[in-house]
Amino acid sequence: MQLWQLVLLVVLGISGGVWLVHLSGGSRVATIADYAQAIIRFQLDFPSVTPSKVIITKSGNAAFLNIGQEGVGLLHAIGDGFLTRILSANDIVSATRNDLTLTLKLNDFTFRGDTYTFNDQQTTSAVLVLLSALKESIHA
Amino acid sequence: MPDFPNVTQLAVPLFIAGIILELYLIHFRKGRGSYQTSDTLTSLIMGAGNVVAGLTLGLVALAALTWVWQFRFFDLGISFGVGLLAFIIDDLRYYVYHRIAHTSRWVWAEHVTHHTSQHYNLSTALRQSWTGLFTGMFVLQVPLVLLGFHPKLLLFVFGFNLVYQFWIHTELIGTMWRPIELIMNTPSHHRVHHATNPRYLDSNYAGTLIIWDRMFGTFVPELPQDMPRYGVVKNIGTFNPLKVASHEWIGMFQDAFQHGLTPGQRFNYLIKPPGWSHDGSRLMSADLKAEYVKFNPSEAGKPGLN
Repeated sequence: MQLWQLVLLVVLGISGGVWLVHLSGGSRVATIADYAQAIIRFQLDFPSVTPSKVIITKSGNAAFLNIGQEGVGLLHAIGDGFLTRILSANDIVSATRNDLTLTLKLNDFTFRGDTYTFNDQQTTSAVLVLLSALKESIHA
Repeated sequence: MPDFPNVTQLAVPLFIAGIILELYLIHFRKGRGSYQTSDTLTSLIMGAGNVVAGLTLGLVALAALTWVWQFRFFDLGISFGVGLLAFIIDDLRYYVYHRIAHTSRWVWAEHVTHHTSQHYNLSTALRQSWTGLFTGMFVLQVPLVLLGFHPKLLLFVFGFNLVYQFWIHTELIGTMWRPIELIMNTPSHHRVHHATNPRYLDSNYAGTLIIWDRMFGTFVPELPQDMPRYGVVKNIGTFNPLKVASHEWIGMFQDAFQHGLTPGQRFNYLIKPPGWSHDGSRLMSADLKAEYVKFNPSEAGKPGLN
């Protein structure tokens, strides 16, 4: 096989394959249905941690979990799966609130954070309270 | 010495056709498995990049092994029998490489790429490393060259090994005929290898023949009551191929160059198993297995949880 044929085949193969995956519904993003699902998914990765409170974002794509002394649990949709983290002070660069949204920046090479929107002021404040307990520079 | 074809490149049409067929069977025939758009795109780009990187690695490895060839003890020549023998012995070499790749962070840094997808489908098979050259693991082929297998023959037969491993990355196929499951690496065995369930960590390193895992005590069967969950223990949060290819290298060097470590601790961050830390603050596979057994005491002593 000549090089140009190989390159053409690879380009067509990648674009065609990805297009078919998209058409077959592959672009769905995972959502968290309720608190129980958030806890079950989080505990798959951290079985020894027992969350006492779960706060789910408005979109249902992420949840913050109160796990006490160990830090703050984060469950975040990545594609149709999830990543889980236990956030400590060193993991957080900043957390900035703007009305119902919270912009969280992290020291994580593969996940730099995101902007999260919550249902109401009270819920947004509750997340900030959790994070401020980890890091003094974050104000609830 | 004849020039052998590049088996992996010739198999590209097969790879594409296989993915389309699997997608069809999952979507229209309700087969087991799933695809996600970004995940698939990343896997396929990683595969294309691996071919490009492989050209470089292939040249460097071939040059080095050809230099070693002059010191060979035997010259086994080229025949079907020698090719078959080379394939089997090189499969054992792959098992050794693969086991090292999961137990030493220096090699895990490149191999982790292949495990970063939370899906297990044929596109995952193509999610391959771009940085294999840096690990220097082609030295494992040196003994084979000294035994008399020509370097070109070794690269040729390894191509078949890689192509074989393509089709086992699927959830469509359950368990196969018992004699096949006994000898060959199968989708069931390799699903276990890709799983993050504690019992399945660090098991089933085989390329083509599962007999190596059975011989060296690393075989764990797939259990219906504990179906594999895929990815890595700390899942990554990106589909960016550059980050997928480099994240573990960066993490490893950040750990090794942090302040206040002894030279030995820095070195250990490079060679110890993934999850090792100088202060014991992180969990390795053995710790995760122990934690699992603590919460599931009835599972103690079962395969993968010894």
